[in-house]
Amino acid sequence: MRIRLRRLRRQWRVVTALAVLAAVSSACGKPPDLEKELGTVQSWTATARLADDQRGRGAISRVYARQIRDRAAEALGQERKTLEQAARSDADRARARAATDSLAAAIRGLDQLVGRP
Amino acid sequence: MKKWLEVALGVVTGIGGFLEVGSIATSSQAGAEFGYRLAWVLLLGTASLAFLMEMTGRLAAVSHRSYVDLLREHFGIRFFLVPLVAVFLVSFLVLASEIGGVSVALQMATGVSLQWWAVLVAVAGWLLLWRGTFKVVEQGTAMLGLVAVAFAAGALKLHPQWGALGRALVPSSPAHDRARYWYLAVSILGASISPYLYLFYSAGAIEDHWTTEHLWTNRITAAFGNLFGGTLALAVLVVAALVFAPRRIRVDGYEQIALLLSTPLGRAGFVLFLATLFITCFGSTLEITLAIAYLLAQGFGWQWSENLKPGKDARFAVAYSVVLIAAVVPTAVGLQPLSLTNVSMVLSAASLPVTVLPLMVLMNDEDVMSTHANGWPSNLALAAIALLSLALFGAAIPLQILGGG
Amino acid sequence: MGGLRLVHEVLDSQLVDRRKEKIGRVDALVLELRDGEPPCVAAILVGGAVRAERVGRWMVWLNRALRSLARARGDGVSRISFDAVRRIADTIEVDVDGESLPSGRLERWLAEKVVCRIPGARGEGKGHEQGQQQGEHVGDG
Repeated sequence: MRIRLRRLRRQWRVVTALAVLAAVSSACGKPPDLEKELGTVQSWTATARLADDQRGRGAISRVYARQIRDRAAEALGQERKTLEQAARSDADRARARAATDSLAAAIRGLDQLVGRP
Repeated sequence: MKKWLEVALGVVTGIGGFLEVGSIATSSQAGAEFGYRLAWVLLLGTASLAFLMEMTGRLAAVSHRSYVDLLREHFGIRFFLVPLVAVFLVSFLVLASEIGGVSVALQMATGVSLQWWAVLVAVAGWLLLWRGTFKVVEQGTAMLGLVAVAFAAGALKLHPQWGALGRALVPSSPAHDRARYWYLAVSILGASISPYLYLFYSAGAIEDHWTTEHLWTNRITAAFGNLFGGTLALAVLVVAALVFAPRRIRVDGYEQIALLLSTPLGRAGFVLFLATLFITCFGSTLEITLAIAYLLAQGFGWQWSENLKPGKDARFAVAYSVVLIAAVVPTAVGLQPLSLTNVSMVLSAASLPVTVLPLMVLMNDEDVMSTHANGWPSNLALAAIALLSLALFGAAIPLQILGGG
Repeated sequence: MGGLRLVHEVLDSQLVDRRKEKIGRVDALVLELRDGEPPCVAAILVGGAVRAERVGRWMVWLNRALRSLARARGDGVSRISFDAVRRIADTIEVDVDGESLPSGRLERWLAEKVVCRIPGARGEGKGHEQGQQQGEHVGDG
């Protein structure tokens, strides 16, 4: 009985270790995947445009639109760095630049509505 | 007449407890990334929770002891430590993410950083628990939580394709991004079948002095409360499928989710979303805090009740106070609320076996249940849920590594 | 006279004192071995130390470490004579005063030194639930 319980306790330690590993691995990064990062940039571009549209119609508050703008700008900064690592060829780099330019443009559009320079 | 009022309130409570930050986060991510495809998971999760709640409620009504009481009494202290530790840790993480949810709602409304709001939320929550009764917590959460109906309104306004939605209620597997798909499936189940939900429900049955006369109330509350709650979670998924998916917006932070309701419902939708997030997360904050305190108090035999003044149940009161304050720390130090939610949902799913498997024993024990033990339909459902819980236990952590955002 | 299944019905059950307040769970039983006669149950033990013994050495060590950190007196274990047991049902009712038990020291200390220093802690019940204590079931058979 005691031996079985000792084995059980060892198993629990393994499970706990795996859980910690999972938490850590989801917090840390994996090697950047170009498609995924482009998807993130594109997602924030669409978000900024949607927020732009909503703010224009008065559907969201200025305070909130500003937060979206700031988050999008944060994402732009992070993605520029990540994409540098992820892009291997000239074609990749061109795509990355196009994507980040779109995002930057969308953020500028929001700037006008939320009163940022 | 009073009975019907009680039943109605019970049903409403189901909504208040069900739709909270976990459901909102997981359903909106699922809808944004896979359209309607993951709807069947919500159906599975809702049905499972309904069965689990009915059973733990019946357990409490018949034996006059909560599920936690019986876990300690029937299985002994040694076994009890396993669900104690597992449920405590998982519920604590979920609690931290609910506080994050309330704080994010306040940040979106005011622009003031959520790290400050987290502290205020804890103070307000503590005051309500210290001075309020169980009914105040239960019914206040429920009545105010009705604001979540805004998601249903938003979904209808967007004219979903009912045929496609219906087909999505049948389990399916995607052609690509399989790891991500199944990861989201696991997190939806973790959000739907959170252990604190049926543990709290069982303790609530004791707080409300349920007896064998309340068995039908129990059945109706469990069934319809979860039906409404599940429908609202489905509405979140549908709205995300119709607003985010076509624009290929992925949910990377809570801030984006407000756009879900402002698109179909304009400014009213925006305000309703913030109110929904605030109220449902705040209600869950109170419930989970109490659930953890119940877990400790009932497991160790302390005096406990939300209806007693704290001086009469000091260990219970200190327990919920300390837990609530500690749970503020993750948000206050700046951990991303959405990441916190995602991790806690997966761990919640993984922890299910320790609270589902013992139920199979208890619901069939005639000493505990007398003439109200499980019939074969309930046992069949419970066995299926038990198998599901074991599958989740095995799959959760690998999927978190492979498919976690 | 029917048998009493000690592990099933007594061990880990909720204890309730003469004022119907919960005072912990049955953490251990003391059996008295007598020559030529079957053993009888002498007492119920309540306390973290005996609970820890059932779990394992690490738990005993933890319990001792916490107690010395808190500078707690004695071992915090209450011994309740089995003669004091009045009723064994959903809970075990014992004819003792919970306030006098060593295992209740933490509850009393917290109530006095921490909880009651904060406003709103004193009194009987909250709001309209006042006066209705646990253990009373309306319409209960």
